[in-house]
Amino acid sequence: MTAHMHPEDRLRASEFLLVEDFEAMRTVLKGQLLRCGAQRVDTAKDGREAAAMLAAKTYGVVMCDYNLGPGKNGQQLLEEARLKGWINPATVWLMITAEKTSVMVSAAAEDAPDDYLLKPITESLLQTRLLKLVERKAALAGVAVAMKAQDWRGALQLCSELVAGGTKSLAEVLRLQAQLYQKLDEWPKAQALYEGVLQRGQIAWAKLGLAQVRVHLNDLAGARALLQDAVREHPQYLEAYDELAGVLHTQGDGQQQVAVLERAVNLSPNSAHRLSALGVAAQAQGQHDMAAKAFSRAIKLTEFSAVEDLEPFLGMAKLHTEAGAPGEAQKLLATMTQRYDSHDAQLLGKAEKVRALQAMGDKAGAAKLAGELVALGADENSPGAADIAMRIAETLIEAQQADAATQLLQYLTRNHYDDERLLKRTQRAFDGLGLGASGGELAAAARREATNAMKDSMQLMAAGDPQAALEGLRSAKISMPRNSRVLLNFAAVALTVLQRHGRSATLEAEMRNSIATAQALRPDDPRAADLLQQLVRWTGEPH
Amino acid sequence: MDISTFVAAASHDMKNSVSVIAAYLEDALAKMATEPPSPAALSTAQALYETQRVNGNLVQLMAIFKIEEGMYPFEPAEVALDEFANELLGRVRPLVALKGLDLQCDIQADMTDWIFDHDLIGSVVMQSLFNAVRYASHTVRLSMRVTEQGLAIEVADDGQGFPGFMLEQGFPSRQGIDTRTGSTGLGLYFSRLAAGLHRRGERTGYTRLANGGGSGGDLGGGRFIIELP
Repeated sequence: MTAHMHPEDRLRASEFLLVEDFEAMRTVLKGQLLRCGAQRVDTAKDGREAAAMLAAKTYGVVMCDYNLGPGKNGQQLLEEARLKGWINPATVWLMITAEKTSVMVSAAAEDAPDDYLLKPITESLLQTRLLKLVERKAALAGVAVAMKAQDWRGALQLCSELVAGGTKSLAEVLRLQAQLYQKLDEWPKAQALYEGVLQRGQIAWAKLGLAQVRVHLNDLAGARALLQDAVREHPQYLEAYDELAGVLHTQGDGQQQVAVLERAVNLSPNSAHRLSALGVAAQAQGQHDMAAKAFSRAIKLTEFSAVEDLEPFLGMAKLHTEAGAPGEAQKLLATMTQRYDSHDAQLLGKAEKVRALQAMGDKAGAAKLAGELVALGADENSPGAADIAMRIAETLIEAQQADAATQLLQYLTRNHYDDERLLKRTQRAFDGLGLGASGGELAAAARREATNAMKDSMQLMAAGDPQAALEGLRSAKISMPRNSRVLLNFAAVALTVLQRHGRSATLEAEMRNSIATAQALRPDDPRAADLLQQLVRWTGEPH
Repeated sequence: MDISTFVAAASHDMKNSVSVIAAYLEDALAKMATEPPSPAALSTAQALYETQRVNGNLVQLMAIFKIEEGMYPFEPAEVALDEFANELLGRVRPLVALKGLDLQCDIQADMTDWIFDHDLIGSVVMQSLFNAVRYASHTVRLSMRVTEQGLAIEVADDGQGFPGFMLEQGFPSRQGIDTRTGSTGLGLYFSRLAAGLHRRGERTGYTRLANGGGSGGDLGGGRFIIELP
């Protein structure tokens, strides 16, 4: 479809999917859609049927009832469709419902449908809404595509153009813009935008955004006050509860954190994610009954959700082990790893299994698995890898696997000596192991090693010996294979060597590998993409 | 399950049925369009009107229940006024056409949007429009303009106006809903409650009833006004 198509033509050209469990309503709505200008309308009577149809065909407009009887609800279907790429950024998802509920204001922007329509739906209302939505979606499709590709700069540029061009969806564009500023670490701009919006009215998302700015500035008290106000003025805005719970957790106020999450769960009992958060918080407070209840409800909900959610399984397994039922824990972990085949699920499942084995008295089995985990945890490279490895280390400490945990912590410290947040966590873990001093020493040594390697290489470069600079960085790379700074410096020097000595398949491959690892570790760092582009350009030139 | 939860659940279910009935009636009405309208078309229109009233009452019941429980998802956001007006007018148009009324819309020229809860205020103005359509002789007018109090949304008609006792007692408290006014009492209570949720600084949303007068030319009948800060 071209960008300049008229909205009416867009409707005519779109494939429609109508999902509604109530047969009479299905007939009525289909008739209305056809009279509104739709030409091709498929129908589904429940989530399962709809999922199959969405997987098989790309729809331009999906009109979906929120309540679909037993099984998946409309929201779970939408999340699955986005996750599995069944719908594209220009697809309009219109949720229909009999009444306005908290789910409608609570879904995070990226999980929310494009609009909600309250029954009864009249033809004229449907037509007005559909035309408006396809037009808006078409206007914002470019931004959505850029965001999906994580091209934050590009998305921001498009947003500015939309604002300058007098977009009809100003509020939505501003919200996206502020989120993009946050992603790009341009917090003062995000702050200015949120404050501007709040001057015009009590807009809940702007309050939440401003609180996130405060958190970033480490003003937790300020964030807490803002969020408490948001929760009071917009009691159904559940995202604010989640954020508030996070702030309370950071402040060490676990009791309040449990209270806030409990309220949020009472308001909207069907979010597995929030129930897990309550479970984890309650568990930390020693409120085991509440934790168990929250985890088991969350596990039940995950049954119809395509989104991976490990927390309730891990939390419940820990509860079982600690309650003297490690066998139950193992069964649950097996269910989890069967359902989710992701790397994270396998790793965290194994870590929790170490605890269960230890509790069963299988010390040799526990130690063997812990040893395996050290190698596996170190082998990860994704943006969340360090956190996963950290979590494994923490679980291993609790499961009395001090040796394996120490190895993993040493590895983490060496590779992430410049990540303050992570270092604080490793330090706490070292403290827990009675190795208080080692964290700081290790981090300092790693920092020295990396800084020296980089400084030496710069001097060698200046002295006109890039080959020697390359060797120095290569050995730093071997001792810190997950340090993105070292990796990118290595790639930059490699490029100079290539330019001087001509093509080398081995070095080009090594450079590409370094860039890819750095990029996986820090997708937001523009240097990686930049270096890759330079390499591609250079290899394209005649040599 | 306590009784109010039961009522809420039942209302939810009834609403689904009412939606289907309303859609069938609207569809039937469109197929019966003759000039002048047949008696069957007129009674279908009456049925549609009554169905909309049932729906409106159900919406208000559920909303009041949730507001009082602190469970209503109150969500003020920027609303494009022309789109808002079009959606509302779209809903009464079939009835208006059948009764041969003149439906006017008058939005202050430089006004584009305002911040309020779209669905909540939408259902308040909708009920008031249906009411005006019922009592109007020739004309119904929806107007929006900015006053010192904020955005004033007014629904006016050229009927007989509100009965004296309603003007006198104004907007009832929950205990004071007068059974003589039937669902209108509930509607007035609801509209005051909905307006009151809207606050900005010191100012709070407000509702008024009047007969005659008005800034956009006197239609002579009743006027329902909701002001949002």
